[in-house]
Amino acid sequence: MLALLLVIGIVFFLATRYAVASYRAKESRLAKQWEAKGHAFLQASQPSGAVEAFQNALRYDPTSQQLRYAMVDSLLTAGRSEQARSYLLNMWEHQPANGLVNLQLGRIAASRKDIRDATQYYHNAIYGVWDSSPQQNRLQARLELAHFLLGENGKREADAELLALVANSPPTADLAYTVGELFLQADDAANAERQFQSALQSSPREPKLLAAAGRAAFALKKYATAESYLEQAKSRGNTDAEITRLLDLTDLILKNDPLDRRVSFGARVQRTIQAMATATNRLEACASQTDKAGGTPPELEQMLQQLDSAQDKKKLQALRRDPDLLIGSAKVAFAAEEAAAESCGQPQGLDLALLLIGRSHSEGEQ
Amino acid sequence: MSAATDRLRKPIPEQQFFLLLAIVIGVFSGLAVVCFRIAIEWCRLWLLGSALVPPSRRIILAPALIGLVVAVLVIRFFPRARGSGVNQTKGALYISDGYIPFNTVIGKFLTAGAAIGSGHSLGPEDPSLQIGAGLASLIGRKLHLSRERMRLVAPVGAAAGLAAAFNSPITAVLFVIEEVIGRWSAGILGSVVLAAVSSVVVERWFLGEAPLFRIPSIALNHPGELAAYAVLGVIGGIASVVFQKLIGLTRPRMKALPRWTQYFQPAAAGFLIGLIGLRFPQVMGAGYEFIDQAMHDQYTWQLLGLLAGFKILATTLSFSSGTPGGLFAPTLFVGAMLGGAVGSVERIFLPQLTVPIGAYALVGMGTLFAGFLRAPMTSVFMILEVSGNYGIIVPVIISNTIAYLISRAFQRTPIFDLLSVQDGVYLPSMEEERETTILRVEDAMRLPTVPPLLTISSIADSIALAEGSGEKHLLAVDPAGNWYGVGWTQMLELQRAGAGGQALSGAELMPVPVLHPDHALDVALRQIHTYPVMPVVHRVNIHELIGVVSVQDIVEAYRRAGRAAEDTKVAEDLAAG
Repeated sequence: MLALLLVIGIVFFLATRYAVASYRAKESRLAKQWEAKGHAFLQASQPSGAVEAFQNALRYDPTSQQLRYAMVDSLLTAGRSEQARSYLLNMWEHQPANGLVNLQLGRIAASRKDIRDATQYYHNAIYGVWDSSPQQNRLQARLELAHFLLGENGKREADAELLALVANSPPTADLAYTVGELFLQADDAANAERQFQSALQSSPREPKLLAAAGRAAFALKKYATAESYLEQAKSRGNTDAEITRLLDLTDLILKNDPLDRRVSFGARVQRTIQAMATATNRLEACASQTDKAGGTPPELEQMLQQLDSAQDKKKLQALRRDPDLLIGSAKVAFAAEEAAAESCGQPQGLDLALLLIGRSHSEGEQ
Repeated sequence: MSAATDRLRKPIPEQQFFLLLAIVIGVFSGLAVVCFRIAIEWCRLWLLGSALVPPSRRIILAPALIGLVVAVLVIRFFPRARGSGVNQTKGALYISDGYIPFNTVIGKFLTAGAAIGSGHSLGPEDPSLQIGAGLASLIGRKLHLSRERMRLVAPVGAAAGLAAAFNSPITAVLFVIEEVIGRWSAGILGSVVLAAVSSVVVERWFLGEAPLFRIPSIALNHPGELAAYAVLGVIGGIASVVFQKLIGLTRPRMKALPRWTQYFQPAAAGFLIGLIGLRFPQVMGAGYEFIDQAMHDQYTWQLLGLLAGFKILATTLSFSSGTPGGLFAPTLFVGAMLGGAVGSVERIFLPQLTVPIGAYALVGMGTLFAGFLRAPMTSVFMILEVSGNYGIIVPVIISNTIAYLISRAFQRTPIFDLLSVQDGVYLPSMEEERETTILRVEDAMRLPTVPPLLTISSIADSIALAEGSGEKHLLAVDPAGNWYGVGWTQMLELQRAGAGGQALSGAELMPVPVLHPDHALDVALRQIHTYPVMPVVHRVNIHELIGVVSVQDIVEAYRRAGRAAEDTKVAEDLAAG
């Protein structure tokens, strides 16, 4: 009896194995068929059909990572980001360190402007596990996070991410340029300049890099350096209007700085007189503009009086003999431009140049 | 007991042999359930196609046509395959000494497999339970087991079948003990556990380790969430009552229709389910993949609510039409949908509570299990076993208890008992047995009229102590705490014979066992034959006589309890209208 039971058991076991194996084979075929259909739908820009097809494929191969990612992609393409998110969250529960899952979740959180979640998931992606090209993927995730933070006005946070990125990434010209641009957006011109200079070492004649280095130097108020880079960029074919504008502005700054010790005292006096005249015009125009709008602010009135007083004939004559008076007069001109900018907005041309010159000297003193 | 079985068993003691047999039963049941599940999947592929949402034509035709085929098979060839399988297994245990004809196993496999595969709203667990029990019964018969062993072998197979179907051995063991056997017995527990575990091992060997559903991570983040789980318990309880009432009302009416209509009832039910399936294909079949989707937040609360409602309707149609198939999976489906709906609504109104929907769906499954199937212990352990997360235990207990109490209050007879009564079979109700008050010695004992006599006292002193009490049967205790019975007449005779100065220990004393107040009255009944009166003594001080019990006292206690039970039943009937 025991032997018979054993024989029946073995036959039953083999029959079950055959039944299961044939069904598994069928499942595998069906999963592939539905997956192919899903991709075809995606290619034909029919994401809803793709979602359905991938759902069917996952019924027969529920553990396939490839299918899951395809499913998430199709859900996102179909605009069903909530479903995609919930799908990704399920995947995340089982693989919290998965880089791709975290990256996708980070992107969805970013699209929902959820800074906390986005930062968390992007960080998980950066420090997570990647099946292939981990360094490249981590770099990409960090760049995306920096872009997102800049978009959300998180300049300090973005700057921190960029610094971490620079510390952990290979120094390639393209990457240095990209990161430099982001540093510029994060108001970190010093690091931006370093990145552009690093990129220029491998491509010293690249107009795009020269222009970028010029912009960084300009932002750092290193106007002579900026002029040099910008001129090179222009001469090598960069016809960008912004570059031309910056170059003109740099030229104005360099040619009108009343406190530039590289020019003679006489030239500085001329520049100071010119600066005060320009500032007076600007201030008068601004006062008239604000007056029409409802009354000139008292600080503008006060500044006009100071300018008048500084342009007194006696004082102008004394200017030629008294370097301290020259500095004081130039500062009055700068302060006037600053006050006008505060009340009437950013100026153009020589006024803007004087404003920037003033700020440059003010920072230098500090 | 046959010679063959004796030979086989000779080198192994009977108890160990039965344990070994349990493993064999578990392996066979596991293999059968794997084949059953694969058969359902093949049927689904052939009948409904490979898409998750089948084409409309198939949705309408498959359940209706298969309903027709199943009806013919059940009525003509496999009449015992009708129903879920739980009651039939219980019936086999209590009515036919564990005998389940093998053609019932074949019939259940074919008809339930085809019905579920075609989209009838039924589940594979209860049929698996019956298939396991049927196989166990066959093996038991072939081994010519004794009648007593045959009664035990069917539940062992049932546990194995259910464990493989659920991929959860603990749940299966508990369910079989809670609902089929109705008592915990060391003799059978080991066999049931072994069978369940071995069947699950076989099932996992073939079908993998993956659970029925992917369980999301769950944690109770805020005590306020318990209120939402309590709401789920209330809704689950109401849904359970509605589900029970619907089946309880529809099934006898459909059975009462002319016999020829029974050939068409499963087809008609299948057609109606097809119509529902056109809009809500999720309600067709067991629906595990959709439970999984609900658990992972893929549906809105409105859709979840609708799915729960339509699943109740579809299952009522399928089950009441006599289509073979189980109620477990539909119960879990309804519970998961209701749980998901409650969780989704909570998220809308209380977004600060951040519990995932899956937690509610999971608790909802247990809630319906407790409310509808009325297996409260199993329902709690099922959720723990399926989720592997003990953090869910408090919400599960709260929700399940509320649902269970609501269900009991509005539907006194549990669904399986109701079904057997409708079939004209009066099986013992496990719920009633669980809740029958056990009478204890303290309920029957009376205060002693005579203090205990001391064996070291003289007979004359003892007579003086007991004089005037009227007691004919007296109790004495020795310094060691042993109790004895001594007759009043016997003491008088000894005194008359001049032995009044002798110690009582010199008389012919009859040792009597002692009782304690917390002993079941059944214990007293079993021991009362030794002496007409039994001492009830303190557990700490066995010299202290608290009371005495006689046969009359025991009978009177049972009478009082019977009258009280009748009064309660009348009051409940009046309250239930």
